[in-house]
Amino acid sequence: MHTGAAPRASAYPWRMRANWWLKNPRYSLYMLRELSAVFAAVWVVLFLMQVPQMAGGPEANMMWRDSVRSPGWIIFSLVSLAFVLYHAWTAFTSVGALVYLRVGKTATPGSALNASMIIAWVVVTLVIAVILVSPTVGG
Amino acid sequence: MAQEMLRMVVTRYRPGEDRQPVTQSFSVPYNEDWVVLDALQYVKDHIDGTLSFRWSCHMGVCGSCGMMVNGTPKLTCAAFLRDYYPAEVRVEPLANFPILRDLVVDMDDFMHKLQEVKPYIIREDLASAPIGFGHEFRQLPEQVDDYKQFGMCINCMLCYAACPVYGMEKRFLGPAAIALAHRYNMDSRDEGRDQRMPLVASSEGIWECTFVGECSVVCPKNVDPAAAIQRTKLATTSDFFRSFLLPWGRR
Repeated sequence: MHTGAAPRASAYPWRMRANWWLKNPRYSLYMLRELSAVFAAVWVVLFLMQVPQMAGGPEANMMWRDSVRSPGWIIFSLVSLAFVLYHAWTAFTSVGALVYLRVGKTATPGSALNASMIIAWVVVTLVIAVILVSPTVGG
Repeated sequence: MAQEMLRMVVTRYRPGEDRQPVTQSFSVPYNEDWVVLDALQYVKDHIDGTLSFRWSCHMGVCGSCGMMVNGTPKLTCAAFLRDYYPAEVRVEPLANFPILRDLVVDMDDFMHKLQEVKPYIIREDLASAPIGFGHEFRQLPEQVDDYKQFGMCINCMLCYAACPVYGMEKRFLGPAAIALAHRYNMDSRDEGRDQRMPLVASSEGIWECTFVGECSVVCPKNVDPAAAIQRTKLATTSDFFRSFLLPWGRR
């Protein structure tokens, strides 16, 4: 399917510059948001590659523990965490734009939907944190 | 007291004279209640009558006077000089569009796309009988609320100038056209959704959008085209899964 019309021959064509995303802070934040997915994906792939080491017996497990204590991995994990938190924030605060919810005669404000997502995010995070630090459940 | 002056840097492009756009500076009187459009009109009336730009209503309704003001898409009839003074004001044609002359851009592409999404009410019963007396389609206030925001679009194209996706991919249907398609799809009187969706839900429609969101930021009428696009994505996805789960049902 083709949309649009061909520009007139006498018109001066528009050319997008390579640094367009530096012209506006919101464009830069958008690019960061897109980049955040790369960090999240790479971290998960590396983590999955570590799983056999974790479960590969005492010696392999010790090697895995040493590797995740290395400064490189810790720094990469912290940077990835920051990107993931930013990505999650942008996702949850987009819900108000994404979802149109009319209850009876009144449309639910987007800000209320965003707030409900943030609250749910915090609650789920706290529940997971409690499970992980609990000696009887998480070990 | 001497008249305060403001420096304006205006993009000029005169086909046959300029090989590429150039800038020209003008010194215009600074008046607190002037908008950028007033200053451009001063240049045209008193300094250089060849300066070309579009305008019509001078009251933020017609959508003709959209330009880049200090790098941001603005209706120049609503951009007050006092918000920039004493710094200079840089006026350029709308980004992402070919330039016809000076501050006038080629809007054919947008007009073509606008027509393609069929931004009007489509009903089978209107196809057989002309609109006139006897055609009354009642709506509840909440049904009007479902689409009213998206119907406020004045086709000023600021959203296109703010959209980097449109800047890079001219096939993209763009924010305003999709917002208007959404406006009619959400209208309880309309029956044309199936006619619009093949284009709107194509790879050149909603799925080209990566949700930069700047279209909604610059919109002078708070239409929120980004929301219209994301909601259409959600509706299309819902249609897709429903067609698998309920293949016998109407989508």
